[in-house]
Amino acid sequence: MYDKERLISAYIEFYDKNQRFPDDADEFANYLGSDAFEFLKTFNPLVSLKAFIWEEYFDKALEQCQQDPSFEQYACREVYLSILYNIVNVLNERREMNKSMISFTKSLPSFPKELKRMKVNATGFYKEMISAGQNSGEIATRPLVDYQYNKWCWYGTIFVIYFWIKDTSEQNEQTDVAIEKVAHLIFDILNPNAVDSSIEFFTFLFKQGFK
Amino acid sequence: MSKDKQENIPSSKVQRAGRFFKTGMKVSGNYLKHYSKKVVNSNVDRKDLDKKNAEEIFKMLTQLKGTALKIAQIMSMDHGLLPEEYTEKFKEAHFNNKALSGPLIVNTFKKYSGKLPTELFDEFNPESVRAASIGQVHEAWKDGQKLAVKIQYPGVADSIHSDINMAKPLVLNLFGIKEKDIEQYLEEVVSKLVEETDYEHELANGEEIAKKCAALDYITIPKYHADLSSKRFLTMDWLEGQPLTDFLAKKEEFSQEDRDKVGQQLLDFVHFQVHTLHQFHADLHPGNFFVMPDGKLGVLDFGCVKELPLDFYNNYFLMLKAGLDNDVPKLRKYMYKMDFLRESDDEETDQLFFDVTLKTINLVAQPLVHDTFYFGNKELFDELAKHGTEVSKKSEFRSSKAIRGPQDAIFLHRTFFGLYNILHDLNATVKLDRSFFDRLEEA
Repeated sequence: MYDKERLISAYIEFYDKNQRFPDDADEFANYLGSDAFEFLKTFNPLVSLKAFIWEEYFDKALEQCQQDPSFEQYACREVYLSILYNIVNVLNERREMNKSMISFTKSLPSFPKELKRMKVNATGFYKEMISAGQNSGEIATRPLVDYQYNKWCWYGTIFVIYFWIKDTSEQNEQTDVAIEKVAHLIFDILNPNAVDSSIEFFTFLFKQGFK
Repeated sequence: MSKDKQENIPSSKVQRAGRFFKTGMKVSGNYLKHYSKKVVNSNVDRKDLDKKNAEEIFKMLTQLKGTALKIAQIMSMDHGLLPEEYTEKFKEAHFNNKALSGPLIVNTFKKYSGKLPTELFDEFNPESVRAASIGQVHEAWKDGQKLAVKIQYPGVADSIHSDINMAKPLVLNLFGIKEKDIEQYLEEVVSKLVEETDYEHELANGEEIAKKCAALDYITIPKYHADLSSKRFLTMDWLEGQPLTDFLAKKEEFSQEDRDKVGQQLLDFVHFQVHTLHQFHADLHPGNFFVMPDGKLGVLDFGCVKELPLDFYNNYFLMLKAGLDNDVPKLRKYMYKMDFLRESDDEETDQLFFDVTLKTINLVAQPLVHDTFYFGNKELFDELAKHGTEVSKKSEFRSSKAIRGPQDAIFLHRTFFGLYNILHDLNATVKLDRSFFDRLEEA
């Protein structure tokens, strides 16, 4: 009987032997030596298997973040930066394989199906992070908008993965720069800023009866 | 969290280009304003214009960090050859910089050593204490020893070529030089800049120079820690001294004797390297020197070390000697060897370049005529500036024939300009040892 972990390691083993992933479930089932029917019951299509692997990557990145003692003291902006750096570090552990395990369509933002499970984990984590940031005052509370914040952080994550795939610089240094940029862009928007002050100002005027 | 922490390094080529373009626009805008002001008020000083442009260029260069900041530093060395406004503004480039994020620092350590800063050191201060031109410096402690850890901005090495290509037109326009004239020299500069991004190379340089300078009892070079260093971060002993930048800022608080001593140490250090080692620290700005509590001179940053080929060294200084001795036939001989004069020149051009080179030698090497020289004297610097302006006004010097001399001289000039500037700022009187002239070997 194949469980998730065994299938994932067999899938990676297939890549190591053939320098590519199986084209379809049948090819993989043949490789496994079991009948395709049993396999397909659990994982259909193969993209689900990739989604499991990507899901693990997010969890692994989070674990790596927690190895850094300063992670606990980080503000949300730094937590987010730290996650992005560690996602890239995890991806770099199997660079070529990971690059071939995701298919971006030409136009962003149509997101790769392989990331659907990772998205659930990431947006869940970002939601908690943002809520903590709102409690501490680091992140602005904006009715009707702020429920989307965790998605913005997710889009930033996808951008970084996309950039990493294209990055040919030594030791992916340009990806580091990209991470800094995207995280600061998102958090400069999420932090209380001039927009919030303007809204507060006009609300005040409105309440005072100014016209 | 502080928004001061990297207001972002613009690093995509398009973004960087955008920034250069923007500044170019502003610079032209300032010129327009200047000339329209002039129509109504003919007393408007060119200084007013230079100051505005310097501010714009400075803003752009510091925003770009990396190579661009380096260009700012190289330019700030040319005290006296640039309008004062530029020099003053560019001086800020040595310390005015913004910090990198904590996670980026951690990531740099992980990427290049596989370890966290907390694993490498007993204690690590995530707040940087000062900026270096292509990185920033942090304090750390290990086994009771205080250390300085220099961490490089990401992507610097990658952006050098594109930065140079984009900065070129702007900078060249401002200083009235043509692009094709300097291509042969750019290679030298670029190769040194690329070298500077490799901290392993800097560590090797530092250790080598420290070993060779071990006999100089007035110099302190910090011990490097190879086991705590990599290509992108570099660990060395912390120097407890006062940065020369601070010393210069508060120079009135120090006696003339103290200032002379620092100046003498600096001059002797440069002369020893150039004339004995033929290999020298070619990034001579005050940010790299420390006045140590025991009175020695602390030296940092061996990222840019220039080796002088022996042939070049002998010919160059023999040319200076012939110039100072007014020995015209010999001077001509070495000017040809050094490419200041060319066989293809017509008589008029030949005479022009001969005169200008001779005058430059007499000005630049003037301190060498004396046993002691007072660098606080403004005359030399004023004359150099005047000479520079006169030369740049001559149309002959704006042609492609104008840019001359061996590429090996670039960093030698940069170093001596740096040295003279610091000695001038120190208002120092120093003793000059001319014995190296006797050791030169004629080819």
